[in-house]
Amino acid sequence: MVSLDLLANAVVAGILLGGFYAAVSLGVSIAFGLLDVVNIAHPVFVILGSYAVYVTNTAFGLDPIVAGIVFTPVFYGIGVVVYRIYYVSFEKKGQESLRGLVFFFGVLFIVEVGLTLKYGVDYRLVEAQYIGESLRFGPVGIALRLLVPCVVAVLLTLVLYLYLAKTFVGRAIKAVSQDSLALRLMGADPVKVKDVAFGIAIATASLAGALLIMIGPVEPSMNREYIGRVFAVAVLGGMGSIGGTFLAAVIIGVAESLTSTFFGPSWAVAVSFGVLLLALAVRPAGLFGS
Amino acid sequence: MAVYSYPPDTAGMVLAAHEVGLRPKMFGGGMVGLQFASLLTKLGPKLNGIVNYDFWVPEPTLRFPGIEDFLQRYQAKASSAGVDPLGHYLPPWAYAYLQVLGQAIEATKSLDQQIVADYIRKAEFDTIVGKVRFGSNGEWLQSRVLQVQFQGIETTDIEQFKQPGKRVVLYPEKFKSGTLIYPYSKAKIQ
Repeated sequence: MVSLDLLANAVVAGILLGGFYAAVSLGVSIAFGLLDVVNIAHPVFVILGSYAVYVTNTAFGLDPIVAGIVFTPVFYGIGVVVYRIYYVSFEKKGQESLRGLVFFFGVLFIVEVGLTLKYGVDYRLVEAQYIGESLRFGPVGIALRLLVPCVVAVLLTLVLYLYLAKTFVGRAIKAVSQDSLALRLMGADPVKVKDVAFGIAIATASLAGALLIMIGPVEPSMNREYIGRVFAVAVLGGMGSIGGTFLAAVIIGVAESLTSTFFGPSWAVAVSFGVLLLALAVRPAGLFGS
Repeated sequence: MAVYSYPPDTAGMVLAAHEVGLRPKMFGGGMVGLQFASLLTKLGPKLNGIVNYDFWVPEPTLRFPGIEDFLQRYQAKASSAGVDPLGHYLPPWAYAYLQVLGQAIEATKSLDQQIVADYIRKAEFDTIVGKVRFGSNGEWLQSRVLQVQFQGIETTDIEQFKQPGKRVVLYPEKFKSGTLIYPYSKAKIQ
């Protein structure tokens, strides 16, 4: 007999976890879904964001969310530089498929090893007054270290959605994903538009890193756990759909939480790929893909 | 409630115990991570009441000759080397392993592995973690895995973990340095 209290708690925890997964996956949704850049190094930038937040939280007591926001311009800059190197070295020459993938693998290992050399392999946590506190609604408990990241992820999703839908540059990013030749015929430079888009994608990693280290301790090699999951979310959401990414993340979060609660945490890691395989079989374009 | 976990889950379990208001009679056991500074200095007062394993803590019963000098030299270099700034968990034992090997080589005046190994099985060694002697099965003659209880932790400051009374030894009896606060909830609020 399944306990209804346990079921309710598992579903709520899954929704909150899904919100966090959305924040981690939005950057991949932009880079992979809209720009066709297979940035498998995205999770390592999330870890880099976690360490940036850890350093400022430990040294100055800065709130993790504030620190995550403060670092977004820096990460935007890193994103622009990384994309420029990728473009000049691979995309421009039409070698992006395999060599580009290897390039991002290289970036992943360089950042990971760099963090290990600087900070070691100890697990790092941050402090904030709301970490370790919770709200109770009858039998359902909501940990603030999960609720805060979920709320921030919803806001991040909303901001990105409105930016891409309503602003000139946002529409240009969508245009480059739909028909970059047509964009060039309009006199716009697709590479510059991709610079901005990739910069935004990496900037989201700063905030996602802040959310990650609020939820639990972080160490450099942890990024690899997220590679499969973020791509599963981006594909399930429907390549480049911001709303779809959020919904897909929540679906995977709830599925993982239910699996973890009722069948054991060992099975939870198989969930994202299971859901992805199912989606590809039934609806290959993803939930919101066309 | 016994928990056996690696560092990410250890931090998660300690935070979750506070989030759900867990009130078991005892809490802890084999949680990896509650021995080194990076988690201790973030979990702070949330550690109070937990009974967990450890290998060395700065209690009066474990102040063996040489340990203070070793920790002073280790801690001076730890920050720049990017390793655990406390160095209580594994470094004393790592140093003691080499003390055992060094004393065995000096006593036997040999580098022959068989001769050195035979000597190590029979002799008693003076190390910075106390006297070490091995049993017939190659393990320590008497188990030296400690069970300690976190008590009276009020902040996340690292300096407090260098003082006695914060991780009180409950077991083995020989090294006992304080009394178990029972149940868990009683130590949690102190």
